[in-house]
Amino acid sequence: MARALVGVVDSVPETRGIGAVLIEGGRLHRLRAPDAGEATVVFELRDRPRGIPFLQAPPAAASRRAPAPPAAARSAAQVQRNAASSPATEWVNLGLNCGGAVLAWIGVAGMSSLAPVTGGVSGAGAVLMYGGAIGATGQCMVSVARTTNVARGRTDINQRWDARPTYYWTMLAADGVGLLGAGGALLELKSANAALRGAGWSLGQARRGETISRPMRRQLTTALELQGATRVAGSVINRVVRQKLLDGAAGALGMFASGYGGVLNEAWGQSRDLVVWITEERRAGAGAGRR
Amino acid sequence: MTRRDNAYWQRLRRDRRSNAAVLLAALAALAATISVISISVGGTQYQARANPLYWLLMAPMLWWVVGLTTFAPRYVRLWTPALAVACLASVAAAAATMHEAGDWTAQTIACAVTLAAAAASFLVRRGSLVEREGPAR
Repeated sequence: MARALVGVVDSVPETRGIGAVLIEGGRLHRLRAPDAGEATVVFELRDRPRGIPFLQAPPAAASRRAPAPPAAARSAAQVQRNAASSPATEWVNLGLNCGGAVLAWIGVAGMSSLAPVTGGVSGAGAVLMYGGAIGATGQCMVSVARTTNVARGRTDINQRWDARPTYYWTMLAADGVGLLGAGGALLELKSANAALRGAGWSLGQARRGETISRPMRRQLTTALELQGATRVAGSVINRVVRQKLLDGAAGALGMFASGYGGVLNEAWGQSRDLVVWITEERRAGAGAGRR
Repeated sequence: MTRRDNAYWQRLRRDRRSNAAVLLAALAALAATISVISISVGGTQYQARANPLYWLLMAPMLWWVVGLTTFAPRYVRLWTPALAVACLASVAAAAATMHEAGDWTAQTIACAVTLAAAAASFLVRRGSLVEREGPAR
């Protein structure tokens, strides 16, 4: 890196051959010593400013409240959320959010069609499932808009949205509702897996559509709490399990989208800013003028 | 959970009062959770998602609300304590932000939503099937 930065300094005719210094993490690295009295190019790597909730702010910063700004400005500035996200983050989030939304709707439709066999979910559970799918759809639409902004070179719009409290709260609520839907699907998959294992069957066998013996069908009908008969047809059992697998996959994708999107942004979005300036060194006691 | 009494489950899952009470409890828990997240996790939405604290705060709410929709005994027993914790956390978040900003904040609105939804949940639960005949069995 040192060689690269010195190369950059030398590539500009006006700064060729002069000293170079890098400040990183509070440490000063002299890349090339300047000639006496000559200017020095200083590169400083700074962490990009991030929003600090007031609970995490140092007391000195938290107590600097006077003079009080106008009420509207206070609430907006209370938590600054203005860090830029990278194009990669936006594109990956677009794929994950929209893929999750499609799977969530397939899951809602599938679970509804299987309700006569599975006994159905509670009314509240159904509302959360639909809510999760709607939340995922909303996040998909927002992702489309954000990615379009990136493609048009208008990342400033995304930053403005991020800084807006209404946007932040809406997205947080959509996240919560979406995660509730995803959590419900994963819980269903977990209980189905436990029931299958208890009856000596597995998710893999059901997914492959393996033939189920008569005694096993009876056992699985009880274990999965299937309705309509004491021994449900094997094809129905496989369909139920496949649907639960699909819902689980949608749930897992929803959770993964939330976590991975954030981690991506941490890794790529939180890149540091490079500040460059040119300074001039003067020796102590040198008197007036440059030496 | 394994349901032994499917007839009761069929009645319970269709009981309007029980389901409305669960949804109101879910609203209270969600509002309290995002209120606490908003003051304890910094950065944009994407940055917040990368913070372990975000998941630590979300996880208990997800676990309880998702479980409550199944009317399983464990989650129904936690109904009152969970909403009490949600209300306390929401009030604390609102008080802290109001003290800091010296004015009404978004957390204040979230606190009002939490308290109203929790109160409505308790009110609607009274006389519901889940209160009269207990959780799913």
